[in-house]
Amino acid sequence: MTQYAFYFDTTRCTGCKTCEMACKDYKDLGVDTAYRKVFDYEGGSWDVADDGTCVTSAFVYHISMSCNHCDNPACTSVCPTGAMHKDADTGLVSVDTNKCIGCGYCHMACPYNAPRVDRSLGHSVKCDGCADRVAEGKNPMCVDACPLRALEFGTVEEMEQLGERANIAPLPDSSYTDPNLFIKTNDDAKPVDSDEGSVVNTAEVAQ
Amino acid sequence: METAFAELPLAVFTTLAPLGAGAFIALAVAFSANEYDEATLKRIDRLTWVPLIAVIVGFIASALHTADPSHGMFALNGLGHSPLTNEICVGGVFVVVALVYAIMASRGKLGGSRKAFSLVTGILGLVFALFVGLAYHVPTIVSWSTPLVPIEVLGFALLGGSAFAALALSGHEGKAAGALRVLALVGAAVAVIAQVAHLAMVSGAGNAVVSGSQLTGAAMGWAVAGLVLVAVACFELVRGYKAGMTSAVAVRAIVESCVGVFMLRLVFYALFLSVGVTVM
Repeated sequence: MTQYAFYFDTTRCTGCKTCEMACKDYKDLGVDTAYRKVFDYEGGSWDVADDGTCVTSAFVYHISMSCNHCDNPACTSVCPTGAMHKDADTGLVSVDTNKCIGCGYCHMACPYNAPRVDRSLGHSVKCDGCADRVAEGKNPMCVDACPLRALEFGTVEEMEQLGERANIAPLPDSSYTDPNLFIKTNDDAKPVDSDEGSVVNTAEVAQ
Repeated sequence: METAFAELPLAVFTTLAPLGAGAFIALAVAFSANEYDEATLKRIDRLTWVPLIAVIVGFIASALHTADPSHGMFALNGLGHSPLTNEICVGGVFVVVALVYAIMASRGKLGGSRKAFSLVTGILGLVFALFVGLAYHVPTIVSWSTPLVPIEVLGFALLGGSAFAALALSGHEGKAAGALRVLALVGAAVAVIAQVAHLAMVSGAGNAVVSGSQLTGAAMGWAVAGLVLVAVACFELVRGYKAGMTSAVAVRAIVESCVGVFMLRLVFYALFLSVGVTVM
C-alpha cells in the first residue's frame, strides 16, 4: 500500500486561499462548502517598556488544510455504516455515498473539520485527495494551484522528509489520529497546546 | 446555542428514549414488591404503552436527524467500533423486548413470568440509557468524552422512568413507594451533580476556535432552567409517592422531567468542543 500525504510550508503561505478556491472550482462546490480551508491563526500583544518604547509579540500565520487522510481517522472509527473508509491502496479517506446516512458523526469526530453533511445530497462530503487525478499521476488540484508552492503531495515517505507531522497550533496533538500532513514550521509557530493565539476566521472555516 | 438547535432531533431522541426506557426498571421494582389483582394489572399494562411510545417517538426523531434514512440498515455495519451503532443495536434489542413484554402483558399472557420479564426489560432499559450516553464517548471531542455523560443520561432515565411509572401505577405503588421515591431522588441527584460537574469541566477547557467558558456562558440560562425543572419533577414525585400518587401529579412530573431533560440535552449539544479546530 502507498500512503499518500500532504506537505505544507507555513513559511511560504500568505493565506491567499487560492488552494481553497481552486478546490471549490474543480469540485464544483457551492458557497457553503469548502474541502480545503485556510485557518488564520493570530495572537500576541504589545508591551510598553520602562523607557516608553513598545515591543510587540503579535504574530499571525496560516494553516491550509483539507482532509489529512489520517492513519487512524476519527471519522472512520465512529462511522456507523462504514461509508467513511480508507482506501487500501492509497490510504485516501473518502465517503461511499451509497452507504452514508448523513448522521454527521464524522463531522463531529474529525478534529480537523474535514467532513460535513450536505443535506441536499443526503450524505457526508469531504476532500478525497483528488483520487481521480492521483490515479492519473497528477497532484490534487489545490497543490498545483498554490502560487507560493507552499503545498506538496506525495507518498508519506517523501513528505516526511520535508517537515514534521502536524504538531503545531491551532491543530490538535497528532497522536489523536496520526494525520498524513507534514508541516514546515515558522519562527512564530506555537505548540499544539498553546493558548497564545486563536483562529480568527471561524465563520469562514465553518463551511 | 446555535449548535444545539441544529441537533434538535437528537435532543428529542436522547430525552424521550432514555426517560421512557427508565420506566421499565421502575415498573419492575413495583412488580417485585407487590402482588396485583387482574384489574389493576390491566390498568398498569395499558398505561405501560405510554413510556414505550415515548421511546419509539424518540427513535423516529433520531431518524429525522440523518440526511438519508433510507440507508439506515447500513448503520448496523459498525457494531463493535462505532458508538452510534452500538447504541442503535442495544436500543433495538431493548425496544423489541419491551414490545414483546407490552404485547404479552396487554393480552394477559405474562402469568408467573411477569416479575422476571419486567426485570429483564428494566435492566435492558438501563443498559440502553447507558449506551445513549456512551454514544458520545469520542476521544476527539473533549467536552463529550467524559464518564459524566452516561452518568447524566442514567440519572435522567431513573428520574423520568420514575415519573412514567408513576402514571402507570398511579395509586398502586403499594410497598414499592419507598423504592420508587429513592429511584426519583437518586436519578435527579445524579443528573444534577453530573450536569453541574460537566459544566464546570467544560468551562475550564477550550481550543483555538472557542473557549469552554464562552460555550457554558451561552448555555447557562438553559442549563439553570433545565436543572430547576428536574428538581421540581423530583420534588413532585417524592411528595406524590409519599402522600399518595395521582395521575395529575404523575403527568406534571412527566412534563417537567421531559422538558427539563430536553433543555439539558440542548445544553449538552451546545457544549460541543473539539480537541482540534472543528466548527459545528
